[in-house]
Amino acid sequence: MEGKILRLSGVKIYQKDNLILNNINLAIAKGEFVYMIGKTGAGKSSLLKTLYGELLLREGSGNVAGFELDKLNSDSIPMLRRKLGIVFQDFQLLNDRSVLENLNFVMKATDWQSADLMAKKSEEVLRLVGLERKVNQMPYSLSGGEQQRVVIARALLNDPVLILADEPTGNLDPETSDEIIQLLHTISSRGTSVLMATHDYRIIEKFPGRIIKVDNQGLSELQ
Amino acid sequence: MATESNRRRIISYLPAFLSISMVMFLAGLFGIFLMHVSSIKKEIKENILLSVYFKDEVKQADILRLQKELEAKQFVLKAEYISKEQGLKYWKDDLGKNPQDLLGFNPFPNSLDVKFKEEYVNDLHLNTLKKQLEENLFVREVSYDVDIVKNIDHNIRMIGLILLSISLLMIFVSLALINNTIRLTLYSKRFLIKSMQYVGATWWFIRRPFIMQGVILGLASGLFACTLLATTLSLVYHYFPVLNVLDGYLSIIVTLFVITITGMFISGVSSYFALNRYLRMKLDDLF
Repeated sequence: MEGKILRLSGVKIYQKDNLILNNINLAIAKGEFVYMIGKTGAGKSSLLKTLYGELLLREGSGNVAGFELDKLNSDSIPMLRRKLGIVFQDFQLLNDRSVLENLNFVMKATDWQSADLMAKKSEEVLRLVGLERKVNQMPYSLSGGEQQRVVIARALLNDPVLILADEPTGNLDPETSDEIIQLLHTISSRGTSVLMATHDYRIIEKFPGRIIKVDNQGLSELQ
Repeated sequence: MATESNRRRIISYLPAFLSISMVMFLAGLFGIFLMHVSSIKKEIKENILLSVYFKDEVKQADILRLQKELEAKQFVLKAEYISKEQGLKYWKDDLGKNPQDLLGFNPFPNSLDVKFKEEYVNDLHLNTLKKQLEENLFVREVSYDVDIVKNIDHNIRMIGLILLSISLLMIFVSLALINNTIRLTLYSKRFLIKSMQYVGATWWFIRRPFIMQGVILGLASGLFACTLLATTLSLVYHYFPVLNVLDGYLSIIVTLFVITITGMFISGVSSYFALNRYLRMKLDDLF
């Protein structure tokens, strides 16, 4: 695992009893930006779900951020997710509370104690995503791009080692998509690895990175 | 804007608040009705009389001694001495005729009218006592209305069974309604709960505020239901004073208290179980 944030070896991924991916081997280094492409239904989301403990690993071995995936249980899954940043296409913000309350919730949920440190951290991540003036707005009053920025800010609160992004630009226009990807690349250049599932080849051309393809129940590296 | 999010959160609980309040109001009304039925039952049973008629030659002092003996027994509520003269007077007052005019003598014997505590008014007990008293040499006759006593027991048992069935049904319906209301309320928050899991919140951290909200919802609904009940009882008392609905007000207060506590408990427990269900579900199963 030296230098590797993620390592999968001989992994089989199932959705209920259906085999989705077979014999998956993958390693991602610190600060690496990896695009994951593949047809709809190929298993990109299933792979990401396995990495953040939504699907439990049944066969093979894997380690993400120091957590053995085959040994995850209801107590360790929240701890694994604190080391990750998860970004969805449909944002998954807490829509009943403001931007700041969304961030505060995460920090309280992950055992932050000091109100001063919480205030400093939320200010820092909001500045990084360019939303420092939207702290008190409700998520539904923000544009799609702004909501995705809040999600990224939220993902950064606990200084994650790996960001898992499942088609984060799927609901955004090209210009906003570019801004989000640029932001993710900036985060990656600071040392946080990013694994991003996408269909958007335009983005890959514009912001190059390592590409893996999910196809025929397998995973292959594209040059 | 923080008040805006609070306002939306409160509004999301409004349908549940009204539903639970209505269920608790109905349960409370039924509880108070049940208590009144039991007080009416007590009233009827404690007015059943066992009359002990004495031979004419028996002295009043002997009758009064027996009266004291009877009143000392734990099952006797009261034993009242009715003299021949009082017996005649009651007859005249009730029927307007004087049998003495027809017969030429007062036909009524001296007697004791014995009333019993509610729990001892049954045919078995009264019949046993009747037989014991009839062995007394002073006693000419002992009587009580066997049919009424038997029917009261039978009717009360029937009414009791019906009320018990309705009570059980009511409890079940109340539990199911409150549980479903809470589950529906949390169903609308299932994605919120899932989002909380994705940012690394533990189950207990997610559960805590929802259970607290459930308990507060139960408390608020209980207090609202109590206010409605108190208003209803006051109106009934005002327009139908003969029903004496405010009799036994202490029991009413206890009922209101029990309703509120039960509402808090059911809402809290339902929240706990509903949350566990959504915490265990996969994201794909939430759609």
